[in-house]
Amino acid sequence: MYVSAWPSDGLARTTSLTRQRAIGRVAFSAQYFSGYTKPGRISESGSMRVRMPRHDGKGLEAVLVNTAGGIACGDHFSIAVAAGPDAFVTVATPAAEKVYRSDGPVAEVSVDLTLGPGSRMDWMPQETLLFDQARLARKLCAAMPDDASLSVFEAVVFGRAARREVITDGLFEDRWRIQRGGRLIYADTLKLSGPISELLARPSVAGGRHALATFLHVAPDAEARLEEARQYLVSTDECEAAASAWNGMLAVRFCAAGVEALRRSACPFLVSFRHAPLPRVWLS
Amino acid sequence: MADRSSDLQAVLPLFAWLSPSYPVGSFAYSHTLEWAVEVGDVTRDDSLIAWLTDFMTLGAGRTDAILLCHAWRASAMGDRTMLREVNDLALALSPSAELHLETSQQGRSFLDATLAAWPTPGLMDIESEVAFPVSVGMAAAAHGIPLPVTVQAYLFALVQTLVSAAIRLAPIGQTAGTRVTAAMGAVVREVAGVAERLSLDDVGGATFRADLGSFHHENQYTRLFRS
Repeated sequence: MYVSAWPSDGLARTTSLTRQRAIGRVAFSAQYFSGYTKPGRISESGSMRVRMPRHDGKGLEAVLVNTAGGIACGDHFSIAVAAGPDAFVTVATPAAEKVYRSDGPVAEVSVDLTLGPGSRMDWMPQETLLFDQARLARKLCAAMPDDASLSVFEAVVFGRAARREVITDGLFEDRWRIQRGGRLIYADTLKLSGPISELLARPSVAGGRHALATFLHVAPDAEARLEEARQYLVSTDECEAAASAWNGMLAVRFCAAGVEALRRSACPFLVSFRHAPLPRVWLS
Repeated sequence: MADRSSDLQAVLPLFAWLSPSYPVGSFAYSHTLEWAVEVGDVTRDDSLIAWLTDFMTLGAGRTDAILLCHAWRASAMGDRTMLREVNDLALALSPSAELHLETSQQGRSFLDATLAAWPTPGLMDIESEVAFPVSVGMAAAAHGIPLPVTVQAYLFALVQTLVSAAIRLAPIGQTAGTRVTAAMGAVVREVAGVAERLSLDDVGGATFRADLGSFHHENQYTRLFRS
């Protein structure tokens, strides 16, 4: 027996019933052939799909689509992307990913990125939007050789701004682990648990802001591009932003009042720093 | 009674290792506090206590405590593979250039000084970079210093380093500083006690904006501190 309802409906506690859970998995590779990157093997299951619209650039632009239309409690999604030698692949999503309220179970999203020699991968999903009482644990693992180039941009927005949503209880855990040449070089676990809006109000956490984003660039040229990156950043009260570079990496953090303020600051930065327009699906 | 006095004797090196006179250079780091003062997040003793509490419970204090516990156990068991794994994680967890320097420079200096002045067969060397909590955990285990007191002493030393920085940054006077240090005792005990029971997977924090402060600090116009 199944319960048929929108995940966002105010469900009464129905713990005795088995809830429908979305499970989705997509795995694909990108291969380089004579000047162009083309899709290699693709496997899809459940509510995850990948589309590769034609575009003018040399790289492959992959669009991940979650046909479940959001993430509800207990959902489990996994994504694996591999870039072959010298391939260039950009991965994006067509809209902000909504994470609905949960009555307990934690939704999980795991992302595995594998880069071959000389390859470039840009992981650029649109924002994740957490509703009140949402519970999400996300894990991003990347493995790359020394000469590959990886850019990761992830943004999270807490609460729906239009209704001034307060997150009285929730869980957001975002774990990044990046290995280069077989060695862990970057690890970060952002974990907000419980009364998230109260936590965000604290100066050390977000100073009352609601949108956080991190951009990480791991590449042989990463440190040399620090001054350039700073030229593209303006830190304002509505969106604090700054860059740092060390150990073959460049990191930028954004702490913004809301999603609009974040986009006003992050989008021009991403366009300038990547020397490329935003993924087309960001603009539609 | 005999046990207690030998415990005390075992603990004594911590007083040397975690004192400002140990050649580690802790006085040069503010762990983003200098930026927090610059932008007005820390102005008085109450906002300093709030900032330190977040540092301890949601930030690097808790993380360092977990890492120290695992380094202590790896060292006590002579498990080099585990020690390397803890150290790699500790270094990789640095969110910025200055915070990477803060932990790796102090960690290296601490291990070098301790290998030179307090050698013991159980104290392994780590070639290349070593994170500060890892080197303190290793040294304590090699010298048979119990873990609970080591992790509390380490966290309390961090508090004192940061209070000393706050006094030099001027929003806090000497007297208020000593009161803040004493007030942080309960938080230190709580965080240390919990950390002993946590796995490396439990490492995680919420001090996103304080860490962002260390990015900003790189371009701060006048600076006393390296972080």
